[in-house]
Amino acid sequence: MWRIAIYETVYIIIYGLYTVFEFICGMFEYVYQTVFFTCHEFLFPSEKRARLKELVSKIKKKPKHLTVLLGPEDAEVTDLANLVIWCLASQIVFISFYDHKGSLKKKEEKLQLEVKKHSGDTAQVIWYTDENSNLENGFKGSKVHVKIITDEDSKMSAATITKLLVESENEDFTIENIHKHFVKQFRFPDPEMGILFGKDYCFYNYPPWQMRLTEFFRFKSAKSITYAQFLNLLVKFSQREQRLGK
Amino acid sequence: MSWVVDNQLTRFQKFCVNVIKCGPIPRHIAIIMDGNRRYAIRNKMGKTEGHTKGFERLAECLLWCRELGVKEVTVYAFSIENFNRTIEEVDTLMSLAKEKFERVFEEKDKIMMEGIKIRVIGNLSLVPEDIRILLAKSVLLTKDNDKSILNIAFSYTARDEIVHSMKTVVEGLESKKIKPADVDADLISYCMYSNQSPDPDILIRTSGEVRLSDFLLWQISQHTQICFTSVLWPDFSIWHLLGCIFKYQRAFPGLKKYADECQSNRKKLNDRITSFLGDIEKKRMEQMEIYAKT
Repeated sequence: MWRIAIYETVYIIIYGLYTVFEFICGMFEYVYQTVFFTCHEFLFPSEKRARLKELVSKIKKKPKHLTVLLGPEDAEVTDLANLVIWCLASQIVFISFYDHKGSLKKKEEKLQLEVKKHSGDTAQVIWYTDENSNLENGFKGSKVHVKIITDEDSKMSAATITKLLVESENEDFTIENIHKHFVKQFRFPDPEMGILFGKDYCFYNYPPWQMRLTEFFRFKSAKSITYAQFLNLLVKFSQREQRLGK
Repeated sequence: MSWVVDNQLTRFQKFCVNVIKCGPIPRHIAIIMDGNRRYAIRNKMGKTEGHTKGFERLAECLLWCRELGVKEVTVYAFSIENFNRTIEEVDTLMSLAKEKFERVFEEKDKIMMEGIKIRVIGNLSLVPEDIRILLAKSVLLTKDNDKSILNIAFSYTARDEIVHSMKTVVEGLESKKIKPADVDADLISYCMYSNQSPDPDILIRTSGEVRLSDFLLWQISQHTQICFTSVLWPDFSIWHLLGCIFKYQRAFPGLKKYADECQSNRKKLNDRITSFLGDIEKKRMEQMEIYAKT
């Protein structure tokens, strides 16, 4: 009996110490971010440009589709709009946001306005909303497709496809054929890269079929992400290698 | 090296296991055991030796899980895509698998005493016959055990599993066992190879890779805590495992809340679906009997 009491006490102590440790780390990072980073930003602008350039030169390959998992926190529309703009700048053609809480879908118009404010006239941002996508052919400038992934794109889509297969009496159960159906439903290619925001590493019902080969990177919060950090993630992505079972 | 290893934990390790057990313990851990070949290269040994080391580590890891009270473990042993490796390597892996599954019968008494249930998930029609017989026999031998469960994903990919499940649902509709109104995401979940297991609470992938590589996509996309660690699988120690579990315990309140929310959205099963699912399970066991006899 007294043994269990000892174990429990030790557990509570470790748990508590870890909480303190995490808090101090968080504080330290916050101070580092605000003080050091802002100083850097305003005092040495030329150096900043050189650093960004160096980061860009390290990016050897880019994802075609970047997917962003918002996690438990409610992200600011401005931060998400930044991500869209940075995708435009980095020639990433598809970006999607997944919010399991469903609150981003309600703010979609706000996000569209925010992106429009910053994207300029030469860029084309194509939104995949519920009804249709306003695709314009023959457009020459930089282009990005944006989609907000909802629950319907997730496991539910497998049920939808199953019903379709029954109705059409299509008996072709190869992975290739089913994949075609998933692509048709999802309208985006499979994401090669994913950014998860939040403290916990969890997918919250992200569409399972699509994340087969996605390289995931976790970032503590959407609130603090800067262009340099975004580029840093792209550098990390370009260092990954896939062997596809070999 | 055997399936059931003797307890060699030091007193300090045992103490730490007991401390961790004061927090919520995961019911089910899924593992992608990656890095055997890199380990072999790093330590200048042959690939086969690397894979053997990997198996030894698995046996130990299963022991740690039993000590911790983790009831169920699922491991990615062989992916359908692994058939694309060189013929020599596939042969080596298959003969290693054969050797290990033959050992199941040599160590029958130990396995039965520990109450270990072995389940195989995957597309067994692609597996060479001699190994398939052994796999099926191991499943049948241990089917009534229930103290701890080892699911072995062999000749498995998640997309293959999802397609298989959709096909099962379509067959059910065609034979009028279920109605179109019964078809939803949950029904597809119930038809998975892994339908007897709760969704994993933790997924561990070793060797620094940060993708899922077609493993249990359906099951871990919901509330599973993901643990990517850079250690190579043969170097994975009890400290890494305890670390992953501690991280899970830290995240537990949030994940539990989300899991409960998802659970409460599930419809109650009607009799039609229950009997359909019973049929599937019966058929699966019959198929195992057929595999074991041929």
